[in-house]
Amino acid sequence: MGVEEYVARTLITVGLDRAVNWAINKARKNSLWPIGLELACCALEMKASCMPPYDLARFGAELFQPSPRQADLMIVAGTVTNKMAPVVRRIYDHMAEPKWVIAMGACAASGGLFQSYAVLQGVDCVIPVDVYVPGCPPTPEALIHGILQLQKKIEEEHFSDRI
Amino acid sequence: MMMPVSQGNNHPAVHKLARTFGRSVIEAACSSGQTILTIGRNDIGLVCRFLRDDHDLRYDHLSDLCGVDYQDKKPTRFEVVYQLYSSMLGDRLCIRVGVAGGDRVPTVTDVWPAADWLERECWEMFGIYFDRHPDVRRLLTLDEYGGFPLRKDFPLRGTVEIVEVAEGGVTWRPRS
Amino acid sequence: MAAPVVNEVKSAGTMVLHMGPVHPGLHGILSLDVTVAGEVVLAVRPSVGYLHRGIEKIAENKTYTQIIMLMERLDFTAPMISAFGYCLAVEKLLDLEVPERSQDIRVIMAELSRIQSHLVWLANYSTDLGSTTPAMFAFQQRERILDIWGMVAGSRMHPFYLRIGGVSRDISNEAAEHISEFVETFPRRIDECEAFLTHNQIWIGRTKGVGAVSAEEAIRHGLTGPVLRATGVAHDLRKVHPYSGYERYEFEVPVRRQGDAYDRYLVRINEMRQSVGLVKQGLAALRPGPLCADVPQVIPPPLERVGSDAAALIHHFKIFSEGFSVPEGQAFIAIESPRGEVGIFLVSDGSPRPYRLRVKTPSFMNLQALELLTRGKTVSDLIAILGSLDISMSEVDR
Repeated sequence: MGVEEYVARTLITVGLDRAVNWAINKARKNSLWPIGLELACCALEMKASCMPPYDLARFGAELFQPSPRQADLMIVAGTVTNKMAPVVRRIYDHMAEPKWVIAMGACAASGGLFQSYAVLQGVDCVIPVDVYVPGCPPTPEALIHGILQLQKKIEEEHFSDRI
Repeated sequence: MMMPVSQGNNHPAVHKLARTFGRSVIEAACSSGQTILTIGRNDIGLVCRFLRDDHDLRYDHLSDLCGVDYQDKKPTRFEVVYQLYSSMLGDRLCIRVGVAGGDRVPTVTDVWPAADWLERECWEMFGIYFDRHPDVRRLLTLDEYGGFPLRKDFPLRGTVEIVEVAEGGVTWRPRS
Repeated sequence: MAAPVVNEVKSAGTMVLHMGPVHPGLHGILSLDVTVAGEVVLAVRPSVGYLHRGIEKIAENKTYTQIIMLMERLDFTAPMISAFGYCLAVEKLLDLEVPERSQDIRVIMAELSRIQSHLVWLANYSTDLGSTTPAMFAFQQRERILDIWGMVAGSRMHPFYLRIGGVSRDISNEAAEHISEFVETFPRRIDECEAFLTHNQIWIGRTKGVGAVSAEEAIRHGLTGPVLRATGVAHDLRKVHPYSGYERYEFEVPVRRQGDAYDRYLVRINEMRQSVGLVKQGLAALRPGPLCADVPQVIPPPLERVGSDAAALIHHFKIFSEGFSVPEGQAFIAIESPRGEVGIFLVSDGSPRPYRLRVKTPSFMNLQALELLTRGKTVSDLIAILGSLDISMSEVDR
């Protein structure tokens, strides 16, 4: 490979790709707008994380969208029952790419305390989950840690993975 | 604080009901300080209306209505339990009605509209049907669960589980 | 109360507006089919059960102590109170006397729960009606209560603090100081929230005269709690049938007359003030004494004795492996939760697990009456009325 080819193929193409990827991922991770699925107890801790003193707004994630069309992040906060599962799936499908999912709490991660006929044993039975935040309920600090982990995950992705 | 009412066989409702409804009053007992009356199933609507309207009793609140599955521990498999409260007397009265499988119980929604959803839930959890109830439909559970969940022979984890949820609907499979 | 079937009501000029189950104005997952003619609501048909977790069925497979954890999740905005009623029901069947120190601690925790629940309600309700600042104030005060629970029980929400026969651990001096400091400063914070709302013309316009119900209709439909007290009925179970030492406390029952959303708001604000007084009295009443009754078959002996005393070791082993047995019988206990009357019906067959645990919740009864309160009103009033009922969907669905 000649020098010109090396510069064209590697430095410019790869370098440009890396720069664009970095910029887009930075934009994505610093403005994750959640649709908070307020299902059960975890919803209160999710709301508390937006309020003083925890303040999710520091991370760009305080704008809870009522409409899934305008949201990037679905925080499943609470128990997902069998009756609610199709609704969660439909809301997830309505979200535009790029979209991520945080399963907040033991119930969203695995059914939690409720191993019964009515409860879905983990929201990952119906939608793909990126980050699991354990706890019953997780404290607001734990949720914020989960969002920071998601931000790290976004940094490591390539923007074209979610178009 | 209200003056306590005599319990058990000396409860004021026992004599009044026995005079009016005779053999429909099957038993008067006392458990944990509360009077429990066992009433014949067919007269429960009339008994409740009497208890609500009688000027000495005035059981104006229906606190709760639920079912219990006793399987073979009692003569009838199910019981519907009514918890009544009189704000005049400050007294709670418990009424039990024995229900065999397939029996129908008269509704009390015309006595207390509060019984509406309570009877719906009792039906969907135990399969106890309330005659002349305006809207017998599942309230909390799904038809797909395939049964009445609070019956003792219904397993805790249920009989079916979700396999897939997609645009077309939900796919269920029997639980292994 | 019959909900008219939607198809029968539909005619030319009407529309069915589907709200939920995920909706910013309906706190919790609730689906409403609202038949409207223009802006006017003709019929409302709630669909519930989206959070039905089968708690009553799960309880039949857990020991009596494990169920306390389930009960806390039943009404998560006031976790100590849900567990409180359940503990009282089991203690009734066991014929167990709870020592006075534990009774006073339970009252303190229950009233802090009540304040916490009303703060969450205030935050949600004011946000629904467009005033977002009180929500920040309310949640900030709520954090102080959660910090107290963290100190006392180790966990913010769902503290798992109550036990059958008493409480799990004592209140430390540091925690008592924090509680004392909270109740000294909290009334000023209620004043600040009230300053935003009580005489605010927009708030009055959205809530006064909206969703009024008469006392007679409220009783027929099984409404309890602040919804009933706003209609003029001074029915508070802590006064009428005191439990856990409430007969030793002095407090007023806030009552209003019009039964509308504005009156329900005022009743809850005043209840928060009364709860502050109750917590102060509870702290002043605390005397040294045992935390739990001395019933080693039910209440685990202290760990120090387990290592040295064979009988204590056997009791400890049995309680934590199999659970303690409760004599055969049934009991019904009703207590005053922030939303109304919670009724616990417990049937025991003599085994370590309950035969039947039934929980009647006030939100279940209050939500039934939504159509009664909303018929003929506008859609925006529907949000104001639903918020004023303070529905907790985890209570409705269990």
